[in-house]
Amino acid sequence: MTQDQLVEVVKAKAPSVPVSLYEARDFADAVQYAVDVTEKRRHCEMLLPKEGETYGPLSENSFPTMLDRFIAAPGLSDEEFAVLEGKTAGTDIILLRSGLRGHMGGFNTSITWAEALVADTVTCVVNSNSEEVRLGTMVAEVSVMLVRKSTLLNKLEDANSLMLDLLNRGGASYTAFITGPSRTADIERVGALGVHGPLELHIVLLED
Amino acid sequence: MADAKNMKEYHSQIQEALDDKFLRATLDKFAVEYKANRTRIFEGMDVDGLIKQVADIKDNAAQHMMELFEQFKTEAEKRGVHVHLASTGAEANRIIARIAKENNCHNIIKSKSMTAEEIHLNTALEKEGCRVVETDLGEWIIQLRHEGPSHMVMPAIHLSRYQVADLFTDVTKVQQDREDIQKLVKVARKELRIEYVKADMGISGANFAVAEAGLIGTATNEGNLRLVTTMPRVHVVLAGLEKLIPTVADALKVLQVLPRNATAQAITSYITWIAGANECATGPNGRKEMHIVFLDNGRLKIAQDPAFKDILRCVRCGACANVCPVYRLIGGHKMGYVYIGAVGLALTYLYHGADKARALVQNCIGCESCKNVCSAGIDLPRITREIRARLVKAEGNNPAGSVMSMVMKDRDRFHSLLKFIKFSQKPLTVKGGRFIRHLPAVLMGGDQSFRQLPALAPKSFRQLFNGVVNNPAQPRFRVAIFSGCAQDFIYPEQLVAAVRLLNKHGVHVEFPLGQTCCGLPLDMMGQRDTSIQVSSQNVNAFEAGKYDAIITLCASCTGHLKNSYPELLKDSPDQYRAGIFVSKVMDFTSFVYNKLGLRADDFVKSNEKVTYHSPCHMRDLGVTEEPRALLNMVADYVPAAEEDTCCGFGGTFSVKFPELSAEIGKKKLKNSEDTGASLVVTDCPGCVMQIRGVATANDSQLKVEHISELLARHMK
Repeated sequence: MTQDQLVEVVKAKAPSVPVSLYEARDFADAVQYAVDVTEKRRHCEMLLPKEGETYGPLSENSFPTMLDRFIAAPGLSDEEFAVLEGKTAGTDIILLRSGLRGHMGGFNTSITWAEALVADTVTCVVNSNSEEVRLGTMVAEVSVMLVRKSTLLNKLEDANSLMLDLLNRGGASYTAFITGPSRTADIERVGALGVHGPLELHIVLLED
Repeated sequence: MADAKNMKEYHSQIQEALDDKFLRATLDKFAVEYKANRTRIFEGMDVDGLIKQVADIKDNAAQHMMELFEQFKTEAEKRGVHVHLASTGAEANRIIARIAKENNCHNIIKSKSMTAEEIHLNTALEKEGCRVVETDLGEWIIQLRHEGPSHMVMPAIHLSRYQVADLFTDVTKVQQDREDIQKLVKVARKELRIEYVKADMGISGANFAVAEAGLIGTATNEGNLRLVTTMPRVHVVLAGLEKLIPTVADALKVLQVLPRNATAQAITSYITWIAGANECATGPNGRKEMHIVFLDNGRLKIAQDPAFKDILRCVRCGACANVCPVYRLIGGHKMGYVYIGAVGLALTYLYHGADKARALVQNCIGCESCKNVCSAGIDLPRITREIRARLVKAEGNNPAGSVMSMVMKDRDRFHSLLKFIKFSQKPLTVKGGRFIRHLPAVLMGGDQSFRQLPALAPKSFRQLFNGVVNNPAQPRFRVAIFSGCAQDFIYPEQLVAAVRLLNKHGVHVEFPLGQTCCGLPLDMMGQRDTSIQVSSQNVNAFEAGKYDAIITLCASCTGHLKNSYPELLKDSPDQYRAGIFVSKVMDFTSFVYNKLGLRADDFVKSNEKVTYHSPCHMRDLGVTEEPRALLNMVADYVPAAEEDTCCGFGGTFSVKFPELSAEIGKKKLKNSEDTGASLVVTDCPGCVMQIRGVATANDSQLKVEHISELLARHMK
């Protein structure tokens, strides 16, 4: 399949995963999308509230919300991070790049790169060797995955050589196949999103 | 967790489950939805081909378990992991407790691991003073309730939202919404977050241990495993040796089947691949302290046992429970000890011993549904029968089994006994002599009042045959009939109808008198030696080479002859004869439709509304189109809901577990009645006995016939 055909497959399958899909003009546009998504949502829930701290109004789940908005962007290059800083200047958004262990109570959004996207299942292959990437993609309420169109794969089996490549870069490796938000059906087999990790997953497709 | 020591205790546990209305409604709904969802998610894929590949991959791995272990160990150690091998559950528990102690860990979080359940790891760690918290939502719920899982994939499927809400209210000391499941899930999101922060050790299971890279692969939907393996400074993986697999490509292949079969998902939300001690800010030198404990607990021995080795193919998808008519009625707590469903019956015996399994392994109806849905094509009913045979061998026979074996191994004695019963049953018959009146439960081994049992026919088929057969002078085909007991002695009219139809269409029919019971009831009772003896009698009763086909009208006999005879008579002097015999066995509808080629022109079609029950052993043999095509030629065929679900007969099963047989039978009756048809047709005398018996006992107007009777009535 050609790249365009694979993009069409992703477009067709994304809604049922569920994944929100956005085709960005360039990196700056991709980052702007993540910022917009963050600004549209309510403030993040605080899952580890401390006695005596001040919080915002209660969420729909009756949990306290945070007074600030946070975007975690582990794994972006200095240049990419600078673009994000530009986009959030003048907003109430606070950027996090590392030390996410200190933010386990939650943050609004994470922006991370995926090494590849499997079209057939809309699965992001995420190099998660960095602990910050693992926490970023789990603790954020909204996970935004950046994917270059040239990395689109057709089927899951086609991820084999990428897997072997990731494994053979030396030393330990941690790779995640991520397909949609964190989900469960453990209570009465009713589907529910965000049981431990993201409530939403967004994929932003970029040209190379 | 079903841990009944004897059948009496087990029956009372079963009754508890049958009285649980929520459980019944949930599992009913699940059974129907699962089948539909599974069909949808596999659409356009070569399912059988994939299952075969999974079986091959896992078989190959099981035969090279220790080599794969060594390779895995070398690769993992290269990446800074400590690899352990525990020969028993107790040893694995000791190793993990020692790791906790040496690393000064007290707060342990876990992601889902059936292997940890197998060895009761939590209890062992708690005894050492550790605090263990499950993070998978379902596992957390049952941990808080001090229960075991009732399903391998959905451990809390037996609980309602109200039970969960009340539990969460109790745990959080805050009144929780009792209706809104979304909000209940968020309670877990919030309550468990602090546990990830506090924990100093994380324990996970593994779906794959990939030898070529010392790589652990896991499939989860919640993503809790990613936090369990990231936040704490120590990570321990517990994996059965059967999780070893040679390559990443193998794992990706298995992943095409596992989530589809488990939850009808193309893939789970997270597949996590961990090779080596990864970055960890709180670990020694910024790295995780990582241990992998492989568990033997009998697996190496099982790999060398031809009768049991296939069980190591199991990928824990849970599908064998999802399609099991017994699981549907009683749930996992009563259909397993730790492992549940069909594979649970076997694994309880293999991993937890005969004591825990003795009563449990009786609870398979033999419908073969699990075998046909298994991710790795494991013939689970065969393994269950094998376990029954080994229990009988190891522990001596039970009274019912001994009597059965004594009677059945000698055909003359068996048939004389039937003759005796026929004469002596007269005072007990009702409804024109065709049914036996209800007998005291003690005489029947259980309350059989849910169905009216048939009386023996005044004349057996073997007595009637010569007067009925009218062989053509120049036959198109020569066939012999294998009757089975039910049609020979209870329902000879079903065979008489078949002979009439076959003769009419130019088929020469013979009935060799040396034949006897097919042996399936014996095998179901663990009477392996006698079962082999009758198999041998049967293959020697037929000059198989003389016939174009050996025709059967009993689905269960057909299945047993075709699937089990080659195995039972392997390495016996009858092996060769058995091969020819089996190759000739053909069910009636396949012969009539495919070989004889009868079509609409050969019948007079009526407007009678008729529905169908597909016998389990017909489906198992892949005979599904033929009977329906024939029905459409002679009547107005209306499909029933769950036409492909067991009727609840299961031969000796319905005597051992009348309470279960009754429930399944009633459902079948209702589904058939709901079509508005006046007649339900099937192609097995066992199913006729069950459905007709249940219909009669419930004063239903629904008639039940064998397809041969319907076809014969509509011959031109």
